[in-house]
Amino acid sequence: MKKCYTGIEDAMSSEGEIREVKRRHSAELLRLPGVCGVGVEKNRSGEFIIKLHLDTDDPKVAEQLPREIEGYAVESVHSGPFRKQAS
Amino acid sequence: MNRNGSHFIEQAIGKISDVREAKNALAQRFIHAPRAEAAIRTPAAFAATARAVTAPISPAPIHNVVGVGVGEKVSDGKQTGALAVKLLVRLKYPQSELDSKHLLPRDIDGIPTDVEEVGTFRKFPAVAARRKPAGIPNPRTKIRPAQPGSSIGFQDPNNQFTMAGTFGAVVKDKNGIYVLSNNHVLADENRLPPGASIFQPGLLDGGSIATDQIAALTRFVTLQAQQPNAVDCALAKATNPNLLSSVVLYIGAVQGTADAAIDMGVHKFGRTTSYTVGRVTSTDTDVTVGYDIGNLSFTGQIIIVGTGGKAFSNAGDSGSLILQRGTNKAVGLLFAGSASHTIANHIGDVLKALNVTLA
Repeated sequence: MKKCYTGIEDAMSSEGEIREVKRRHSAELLRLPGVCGVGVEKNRSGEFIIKLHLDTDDPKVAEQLPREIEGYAVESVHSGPFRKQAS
Repeated sequence: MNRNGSHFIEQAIGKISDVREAKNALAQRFIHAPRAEAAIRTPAAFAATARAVTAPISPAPIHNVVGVGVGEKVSDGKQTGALAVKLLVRLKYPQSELDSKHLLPRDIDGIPTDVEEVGTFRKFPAVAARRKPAGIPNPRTKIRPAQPGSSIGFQDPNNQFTMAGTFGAVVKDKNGIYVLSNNHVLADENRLPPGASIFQPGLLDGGSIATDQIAALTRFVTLQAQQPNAVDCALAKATNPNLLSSVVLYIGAVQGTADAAIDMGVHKFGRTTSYTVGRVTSTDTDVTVGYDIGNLSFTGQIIIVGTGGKAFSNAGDSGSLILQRGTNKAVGLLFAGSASHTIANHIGDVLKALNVTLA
């Protein structure tokens, strides 16, 4: 079927596509040492990236992470460990 | 003082004077210039200016930049150690929402700039006086009718500990009205039976078992240890509907719901950090979260970072409703986090899982 795309549809399909990539790889990434989160975010230029949340600032952990997955850039941030937030 | 030390200080002073010069240039451009320009404005332009000041949202630098100073550059919430010209804005806009003519410079003569959000709608004195006469309320006190944003919690059946979390929202179904919060705030991670008492304030904050019950646990979505979760939520039915108000402390009435989006500006009122402002960085993140019953996995969660390098939440804020700034539409239910990041369920998932609507 012939389709006519607009810019908005392109942006939507791009977000849908990276979320699908995240979904496929998430469980495996969450098993890597130090990884406590895997998400879809935007970088400073507004491009979609895979964001890995780490529960350590050990540089050896960050070094062993993939730099890209299925063509999408991977970035990491030391943000965890995450806890429930009751007192 | 040794020679090396004084040399270092001279270098630092040299650098500070460069940064000051850059600061003065930007202050001239964003703070002082518009006043000169105002003198030649037509009456129509004056009217437009007045609207822009009463409205919370105008990305034009002459309206949005309220201060220019010198300080340490903060990047992704972390201090960088580098001096920068600080541009203080009323509301920090994501770059994607800004017209190119409204973009603030990234550097001036090689000195980096750093945009920091300092002013919110409530800081306009005329508006604040009308809407928020009492200042920021203390969520850990007894409040009647009990309001979302305040301290609530359960009683440990063995009386080994006391705890507190946050009353998120008032929700309803055909059988009555309920306190909405997390499973771990109302049901102690699947462990409490229906009918368990819920107190405001929580017992950790001095709530009295004899006099401060507001609700009874009705149902929860079971937290799963062996498979991913979407929500951490539970309901407690009001012991008397008159005990609850649906108006969120400090923030006001909830105006329905919306889907969270990347870069959306949000706020919440919670038991520990009270009123905070933040930005959504993700609407689809899978996380591992530590609970008493073990590490649980959640998929498709919202991630929020606080504005201005401050944490959006801390222990005790679990259960807080997260609303879009400007519209006060509910977008999330806060349940977890760290020193730098907050994690929330999508409010649509929560309401659907519990089969209720906002009251």
